[in-house]
Formats: sequence, structure tokens, C-alpha cells
Amino acid sequence: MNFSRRMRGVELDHAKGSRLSETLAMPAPETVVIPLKQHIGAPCEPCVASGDKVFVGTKIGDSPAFVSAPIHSSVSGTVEGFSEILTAQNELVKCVRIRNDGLDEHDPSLAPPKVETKEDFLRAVRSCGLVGLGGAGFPTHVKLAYKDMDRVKKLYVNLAECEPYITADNREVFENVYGIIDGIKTVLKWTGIPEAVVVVENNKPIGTQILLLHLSQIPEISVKVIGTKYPKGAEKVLVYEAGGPVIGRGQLPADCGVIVMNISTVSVISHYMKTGKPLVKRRVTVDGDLIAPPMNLFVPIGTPISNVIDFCGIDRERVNMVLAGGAMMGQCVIDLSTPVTKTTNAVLCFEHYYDRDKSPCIHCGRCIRVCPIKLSPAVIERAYDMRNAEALKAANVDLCMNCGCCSYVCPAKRDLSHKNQLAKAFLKASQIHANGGK
Amino acid sequence: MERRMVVTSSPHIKSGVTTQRIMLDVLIALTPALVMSVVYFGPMSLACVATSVGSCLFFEWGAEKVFRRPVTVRDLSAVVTGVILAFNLPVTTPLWIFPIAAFFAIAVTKQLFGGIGQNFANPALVGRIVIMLSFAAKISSYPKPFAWTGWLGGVEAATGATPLAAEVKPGLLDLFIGNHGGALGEVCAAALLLGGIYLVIRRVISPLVPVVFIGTAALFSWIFGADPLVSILSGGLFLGAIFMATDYATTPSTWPGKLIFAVGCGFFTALIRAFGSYPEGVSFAILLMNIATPLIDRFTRQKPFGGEAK
Repeated sequence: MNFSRRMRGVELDHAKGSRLSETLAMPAPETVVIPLKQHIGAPCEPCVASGDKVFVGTKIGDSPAFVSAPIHSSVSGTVEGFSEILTAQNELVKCVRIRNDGLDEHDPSLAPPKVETKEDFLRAVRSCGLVGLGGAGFPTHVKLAYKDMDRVKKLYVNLAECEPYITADNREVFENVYGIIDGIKTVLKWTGIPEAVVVVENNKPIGTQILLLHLSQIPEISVKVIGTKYPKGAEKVLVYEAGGPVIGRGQLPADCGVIVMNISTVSVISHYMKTGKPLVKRRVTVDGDLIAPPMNLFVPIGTPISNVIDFCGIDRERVNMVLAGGAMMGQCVIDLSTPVTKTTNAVLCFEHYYDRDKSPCIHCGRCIRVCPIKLSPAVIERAYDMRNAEALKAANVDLCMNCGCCSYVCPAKRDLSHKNQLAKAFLKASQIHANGGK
Repeated sequence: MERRMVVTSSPHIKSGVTTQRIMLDVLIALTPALVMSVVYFGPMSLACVATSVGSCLFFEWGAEKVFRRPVTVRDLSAVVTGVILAFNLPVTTPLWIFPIAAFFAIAVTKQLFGGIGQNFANPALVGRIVIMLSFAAKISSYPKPFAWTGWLGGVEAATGATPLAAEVKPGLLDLFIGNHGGALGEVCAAALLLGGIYLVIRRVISPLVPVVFIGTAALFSWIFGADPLVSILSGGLFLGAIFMATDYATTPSTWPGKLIFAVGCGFFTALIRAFGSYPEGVSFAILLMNIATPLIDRFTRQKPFGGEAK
């Protein structure tokens, strides 16, 4: 083992109680609320009107912008109208409200795409509505359309799943290993990347064995097992730990000759190529202190979280905090009507949540020694409190990826990673101001 | 109306380590040395520790009231300071000295600079140095172990110099188990080591600083012509290296910074012991490096991962 490649981070209680829960298909609710922006990039404009009849897989929103991904209906029924809601990412987004007719009819125009060239492939990935399912939601067709693909030598498939609770990607290996392998092969074929490496944390021995068993005859795809430590699943950390290059400030992984894709994202490509059915549902881990046993569900996109909670038999009255995503990086939802989107990999419901008063910094330096990017959160906090843009720039706060390790270890329970995000925004604003508003 | 949810920023789980728990661990680690001090110097040492802790708590509370800050006596940091302060003074110290030492430790060194985490030097150390310089006559004689006869005050009959100043040095085993004269908490290296191991296991401190501090002190003592084993087991080196040079606020945060700090402490300890006018150099060495800490922090700032594009 190459010890010099081990990066800093925190050891967490995995709480992955749902890893043996086979995924159940959750029935679509009476009404779905589908946000027209579930990705990084430009929001979509609706391409349906009130009263229109839609089917499962009918495109309901699209955008002419390159960095965007179309949105499809997850139910068959009638468009009731449009509304603006606050998504789990705390963005005010226009949504399409669709009344489910319960017939679950698929759009008759859906057919497997004809792919003969790389352009066909990218167009197909786009029309699938595919975005990074790991949580960031970057449109996949944009990632794969990297201009200088000849430089890219490796595809890293991310199965680190370093967040506590979440097992959605691990379940994908258990339930759809052929889809994963086919998806990887498809991506390699059309992008011309010569080899792929599935990177997995060593806390998933069964998933690793399944992969090794199926990959033994496939020389271009290998498995790399890395140590278990949060945040191994972060792109920069994952690539470096798996033996890849250091991704510098402002660089895409592709600039350094690698591309990283989440494992569930890859298998959706395979599914779309075979069936032509776009991304309208996803696997969601439901866990927390109110559910026993924890579950994995296929949830139609646009399903309000309240329906998910009811389906799992969780007592709504006892829920005090709901997270969309993991315990380390997930977002609190403000109310239970918030819909599940393409990037919601978990719904965690808690009656008892962490709540302790913060106390003064004791300068123990734990945050400084735990930061995977080797920043100094305690120094950044002081600089931000004084609104010192120069000191923040010198402290490289722009590199913070909000993994939350600093807040996690802080004995004074200070919200260091939160301050880092505020400091990032402040630094950006003050630099724009200094450049005369550009 | 939908039920309102609790909304906080991520991460939504946190480690069980708290300031109070850290301080409690330090107190647990100090307990073996406290027990040994009672064995060697009698119940009077308990009275000294109690007076010192009481005074520290009073000044912490009082200063925070005066400065209108939230009262933080519950975080136990003042208790830790009180115990370490008492450990640094001989059992024959008149009890009225402790409030004076506590005033300089807590009110001046800690609270005047902003309270916990803001002090520029180790409070207990400053308290000790103030007393050492101002009341030298009161604390210059160190009682021999087992010299106590009565419950209170019986120790004054037989006193002697610390091994560092003594003409005839005690044996190595006696030095290790603490069977020699000295300040009440510093004599038993074995008990202090036990506490240090506990702190390392609990991950409150890293062994880096104590090991390098003691190692460097041994090396330079040897270079300066002293017996390295005798010199590391004498005086306050173990107490200083394990409990004072690992103080959070007054030592560097990064690994390279800690290394420089520990080497500096060890070097100056040996230097002062060999050539200074005081027999003991641990306090001054740590104080000097405390003051150098902001400078060390500046020169050992870590380079971010992936900072510049290649």
C-alpha cells in the first residue's frame, strides 16, 4: 500500500444499516411536483402546458443552453399547473405539477436511441436527462463532451460512497452489476477512453467481490480498493487515492487526463441505450432514527418527501429534521412537501438531531490537521469574522469543498465548514467588487 | 400548515469530543501524579491543589463577570490550570501564595487576552514564573519525600534542594518513581508518564511533542556534559513536556510546527539548565516557545492540496 497517497479525513460511524435492504419500487403518488432544474447549469423551460396529457418519460422541460439537462415526467397523467418551490438545494425553482392517472403508461414515442457516432452518443445521454447521481448533478453529456478527449486516459467509476447511512450505489452493484459493466463499456466505446477503474472503499467487501467476479474476463475494467475514511468519495480525493493525478485549482478532472463518474450514473446510460426510457426515478436510501429497518426505494422523481415518509411507515409527527442527502453534506429540507430530485440519494429522518451550543475556539488545531485539502478552517473563520478578503485569499478558502470534516471534529462545536462557505461567497463578491463589478 | 422542520447547516453529525471532555481527560491523566504527591508529601499537597483550583475557578468566574463575557467555568479548563499550577510549586508553599499565582495565571494571562484559546502563554506556567521571581524565598526549599509527620504543615522540618541543584544526585529508580525532592506534582515521572499514555490513547494529545521535547533535552544535556537520563527524570521535564508543551492555545497547530516547538523546548531546557543561573529551565523554555508560536505558525502554514494547477 502506498501510504503517501493516504489523505486526511475523519473516521465515521457508517450506520449503513440499509446495505442489505433490497430496493423496493415505491408507487407514484397522486401528484408529483417536478422541479425544472435538478442539475448544475441553466434551468429548463417547460415544454408542456396546463391540461396537457403526459406519459411516463414525456419530456416536460428543456433548455437551449449547453450546460443543462432535460426533465421528463415520472408519471402518466395531466399537467395541473406550475408553481415555484424551494428545492432541497435551497433554490427557488419553477416546478411542473402533474396529476397521476395511475395507469403508468409509457410515452409511445420512447425507443432505444440509434447510436452510430460519438455525437449520437452524447445526444442520447443528453436526451436521457442524465446528471451525476452522486449528489452534484453535473450534466453527464457535458462531462463526456470534453473537447480534448484524447488526453483522457482513465475513467474512474466512483463507488466510494463515503457518507454514513447511504447505500444506494452499493445496492446498484448488488442488483444491477450487468448494467454497470455494460454502462462502463458503452462510455469507454464512445468516448475512446482506454480503461476504467471502479474505485471502492474497503468497507464494501461483498460489492467488491461481486464486481471482481464479473470483471475477471474484462481486461479494460479493473477494481481499486481504497481505505475507508470520509471524504474518499470527493472527486479530487478519490482520483488521488486511486493513484491518479492531483487536480489543481480551477481544473476539471479531464484537464488532468481522468474522468470521474458515479456508478449509478453509468448504469443509467446502459438502461437508456437498451430501452430509451429516460431518467424518471432513482434509488433513495431512507434511514434515520425513526425507521427500522432502513430501506432502499426506487422513488419517482417529483415525489414529495412526505409521501416517502408515509410509505416507509415513519410517524410524521415525530420527525424533527429531514435531510436530502447524507449526514455530512446533505441539506435540511424546510418542509416535507419538498420533492425528491435526480440528485437525492438519501432521505434521512431524525427525531433526535445534533444540537449543542458552540463555545469559543480552543485552538486545538484538529480542524487544521483533519482537512483533506489542508486548509486551516480556524484561521479562515477568524479572517471571515473580520471580513478580511486578503487573508481569506491567502488561506485558499476557494478550494474548500464543504466536506464538513472540520465542523465534525471541532470540540467547541463551531460551524467551521458553514463559515468556509460564507467566506467563499464573501471572497468572490469582494473580488468582483474589486474588478469593478465584472 | 405543514409541520416546521429544523434546519441547520451541514454536517449534521458531530464527533463526541467536546472541550469539557478534553479537559476532563486531562484531569484524569493528572490524577496518578496527584495520588503520588499525597503519598510523598502528605495531605498538605491536597490542600495546595484545592486552594489553587479554587482560586483559579474564582478568578475565571470573576474576570468573566467583570468583562461581561459568558461564564465558562463549566468547561473545566480553569480546574486544569489550577491543578498544573499547584503541581509546579513545592508542598511547603504558603497557601496565600496560590491566589496570587492564580490571579496572574487566569485573570492576567488568560482572561485579559480574551479567555480560553486566546492566551499567548500557558497560564499555569506564567503563574509559576511570577511566584518564582517574586517570592523566591518562599518556594526555594523543596521537601524530601516521606518527610511529613503530621496532617498539616509537618513537612517543614526537613527540606532540601531539588535534584537539579543537589550535590549528590538520587538514583535513577528513585528519580523515576519520584522518591526525591521537588515540586509536588513533578517528582513522579512514572505517574506523569501514565497520564501521558492515557492522553495519547484518548487522542487528546499526540506523543510527538512530549517525545521530541524529552529526546532533545536528553541529547543536548549529554552534549553539555550532564547525564542525559538523570537530567530528563529530574525537575519538571515530564510535567512540562506532557502537560504544558501540549497545551492547545499556546503551541503550533500543524505537525511541522509542533516538531519545531518541541525541539526548541528541549534545546532551551538543556541550555538553561547547563548555563543559566536557575537550576531549572523547563518553564522558561516552554514560555519562550509559547511566545514564538505565532511565528512558527506563520512559517509552517500548510500548502493546500491541489492549490496550483500543474
